[in-house]
Amino acid sequence: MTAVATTAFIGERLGLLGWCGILLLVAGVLLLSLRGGRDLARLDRKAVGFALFTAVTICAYSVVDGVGARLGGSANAYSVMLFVGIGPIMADLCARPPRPRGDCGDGAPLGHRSCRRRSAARLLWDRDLGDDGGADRDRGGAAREQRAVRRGDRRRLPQGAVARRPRRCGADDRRWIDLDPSVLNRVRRGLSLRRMLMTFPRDQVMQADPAHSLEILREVHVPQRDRLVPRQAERPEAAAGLVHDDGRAPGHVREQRRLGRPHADQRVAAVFRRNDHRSRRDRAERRLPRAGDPM
Amino acid sequence: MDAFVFVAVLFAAACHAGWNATIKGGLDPLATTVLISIGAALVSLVFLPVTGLPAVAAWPWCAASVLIHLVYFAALIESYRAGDMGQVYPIARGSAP
Repeated sequence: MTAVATTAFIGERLGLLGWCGILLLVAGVLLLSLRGGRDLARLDRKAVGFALFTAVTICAYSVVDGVGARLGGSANAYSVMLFVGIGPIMADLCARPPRPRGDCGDGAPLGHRSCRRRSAARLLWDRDLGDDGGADRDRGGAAREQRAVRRGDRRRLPQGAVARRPRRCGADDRRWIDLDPSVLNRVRRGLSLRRMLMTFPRDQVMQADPAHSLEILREVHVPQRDRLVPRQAERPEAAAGLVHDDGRAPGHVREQRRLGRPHADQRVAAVFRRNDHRSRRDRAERRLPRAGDPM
Repeated sequence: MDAFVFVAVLFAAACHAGWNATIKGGLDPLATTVLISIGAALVSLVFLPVTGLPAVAAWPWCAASVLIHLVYFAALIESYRAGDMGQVYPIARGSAP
C-alpha cells in the first residue's frame, strides 16, 4: 500500500526486486493471518475489515511522516514533535465524556441533570442461549427480532421477519440492571459489561415487565460466557492442606471447549426506562445509584 | 545493512509488538492507548531540547500526521476489540508496506 502510494504521489522509484519482495511479504502475511487460526470458511469480517482500515491509516501516516521527516531535516526532531503532539490530544479527547444522546422519555436529554434525577437509565440484559453453532451468524438479527417481538413492536421487525415468540424466553432470560446514565455512558465508551456486572450488586438486577415498549440505544456484546457462568457448582474441593487455585485448575475438557467459543453468546441492549415502568421491587428497596454516589 | 541499524530496527520491532500486546492484553484498550501515548509524549518532551524542533516546512505534515494517528489509534482499538492479536497485527502491519 505504502509502496504504491509513494510511487503514485511522491514519485519514489522502487526496483523490480523491491516490488517482488513487498509482494511476497504482503502475500505471505495475508495468507497466514486471514484465517485467524480458524476455518477458512468463517472469515472474521469485522476484525479483518478493521485491521485493513488500520493498515490504510498506517500507510497514510507512513507517507506523511516520510515527507515530513525529510522536510524537517532531522527525523528525530520530527518524531519527537509528533509524539509530543499526539499525547495531549489523545489525553484530552479521551478524558472528555462523550455527549449522551437520546432523551429520558420526557424530552430532557439523557445527560441533563433533571433527567438524571428523575429516571435511571437501564440496561436490558438479553440472554440468547441457543447453542446451535450454525445459527451463530444470524444471531444479531435474531436477537433484534426477539426484542421487537417482546416489545410487541412490529414496526421494528426487520423486513420479512416473522413475528414469532422466541424459543427460549423464560423469566431468566430477561434481566434488568438499573444504571445511572453516567454508567450507561461508560458502557457506550466500551467498558465491558462483564466488568460492570461485577461492580454492581445483585439486588440491582431485576425482572422487567415486557409489556411496556422500550427504546433500544445500543447493543453491547458480552463475549465471554465463562466469566458469567458461576463455576463454583462443579468445582471439586481441594484436599486439605492444598492451595485452591480456581484460575489454574484444569476444567472439564468438553465444557471448556464449549465455553471458549469465539463468538458472542449474549446480547445486551441499553434501553431507556419509561416513566410508567414498574418492576417487582419497591423503589426504596432497589437502592438505585444516584448521580452523586461514588461509583 | 549496518549491524547497528539492523539491531535498532529489530529492537524497534520488538517494542512495537510489545505495546500492541499491551493494548490487546491489558485493561480497556482505549485507556491503555491513551496511557501509552501520554507516556510517549512525556519521553519525547524530555528529548525535545536535545533534538530541537524540525524545520517549519515540516510542521503542516506533522499536524496532518497527528490527525492520521488519532484515526489510526481509533482503528487499532476497534480492531483489537473485534479480533485476536495474532490476526489483527499481521494484517494491519503486514499489508501496509
